[in-house]
Amino acid sequence: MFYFYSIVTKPLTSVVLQNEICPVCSKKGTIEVVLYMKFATALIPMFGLGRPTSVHCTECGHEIKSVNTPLFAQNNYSPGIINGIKTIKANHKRTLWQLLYPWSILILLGLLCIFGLLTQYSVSRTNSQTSEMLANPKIGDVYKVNIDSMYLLNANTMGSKRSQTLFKIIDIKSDTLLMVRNKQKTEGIGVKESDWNSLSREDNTFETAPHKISLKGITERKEVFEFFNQKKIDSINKTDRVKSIDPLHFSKSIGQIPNYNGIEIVERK
Amino acid sequence: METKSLQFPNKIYINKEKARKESILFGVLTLCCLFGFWYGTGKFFTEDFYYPKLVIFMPICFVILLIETIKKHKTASNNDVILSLTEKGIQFFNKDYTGVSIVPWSEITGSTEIETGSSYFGSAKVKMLCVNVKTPSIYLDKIGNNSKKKLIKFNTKNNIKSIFTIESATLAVDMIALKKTIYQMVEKSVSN
Repeated sequence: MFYFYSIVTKPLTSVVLQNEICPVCSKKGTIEVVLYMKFATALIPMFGLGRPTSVHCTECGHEIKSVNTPLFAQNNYSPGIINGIKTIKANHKRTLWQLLYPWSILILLGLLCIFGLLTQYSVSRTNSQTSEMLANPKIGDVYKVNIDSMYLLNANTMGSKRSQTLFKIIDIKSDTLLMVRNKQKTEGIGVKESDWNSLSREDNTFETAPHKISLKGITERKEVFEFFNQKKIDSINKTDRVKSIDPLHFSKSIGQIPNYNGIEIVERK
Repeated sequence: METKSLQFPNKIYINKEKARKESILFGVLTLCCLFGFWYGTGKFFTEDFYYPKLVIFMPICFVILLIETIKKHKTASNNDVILSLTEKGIQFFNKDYTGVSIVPWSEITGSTEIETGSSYFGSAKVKMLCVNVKTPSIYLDKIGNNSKKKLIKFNTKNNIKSIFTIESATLAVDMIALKKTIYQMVEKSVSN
């Protein structure tokens, strides 16, 4: 894996100390203090490493203090140089860019974290709202449903294929929802909200024959369980040795309520 | 307090005290690695256990530290003069510089201390003292070591006209005094 990092030092400003004498060339007013911006970078800046200074003679090139000098070695300089270092650090005001640039990657990560938390909050809010609406259905609610093509009346394929369609509640009878299916369908997964937008919500786009759907299936399993016809229910009751009262026992799953985070599953006017 | 210049003739040796201390430190670390290997192998595979990571890692450390200890010990036991400052110029006593003899002050442009990269023990920079001359190419044929020749050629291309480089900390001399002396002698030769 390609891995590259480096420590970058960029000069910010410099000042010449007029009263200092170079110990090597013995000339006055040749000592220059340079203030740097130091940061670690791996293709883009990661984090700042402070504002180090270097002190050198402009005449003979003698370096009194290197930019890489560790902090503990900074007390070995003359009072004039120490004062010069303090002054240059105090007087130089960094621009917003100089302040933020060394921390680019951490700022980006921070923003990413905030975005993630906000998204998470929004998703959990939508999910709780959806669960509440699924538990308390109302006439006119439109549900987004992932349905298997084999259950569609206008299916032109024999194979099992996932499609998206809409179910609308036209009546509620205790645990049974009378729902009509949209005549339109789209194929795909339906992860995004936009995948469902092509389906029309107009009344005339829904079929007239209602499906008897179990409310328990929707709230507990997030699945669309359609009840069998009366003939089949009687047949099941006749053959069962232990009588069941579970509504899901008398129905079959024809589709799933999409469980993708953030999708508005129930549309209520 | 102002630093005084060096008196001529001045012979500069290796800082033996420092080299000896480093040699002892590396020796102790080498012994630690040996102990680590002994422990890691379960007393040289006589016990019921051993640590594979230590068995691999410790010999590598041991070899590196042993080489470093020997190098430091050789440096500490070096009684030879490294360089000598006279009224005429600077003379280098390294065996690679036997053909160079005295480099006159008129040919020297100054001395600089440059920071090289890091050692493998950390990111601490090493300061190297460089003696710069006007035309390094004339000394190329007189230098015996081929790698040094290549280094000088490479440095010349990068505008570093140095013929002699040594780690500053290894010399038993006040570096500011040495640089001041070189600077003053170069100034003197220029004014003459």
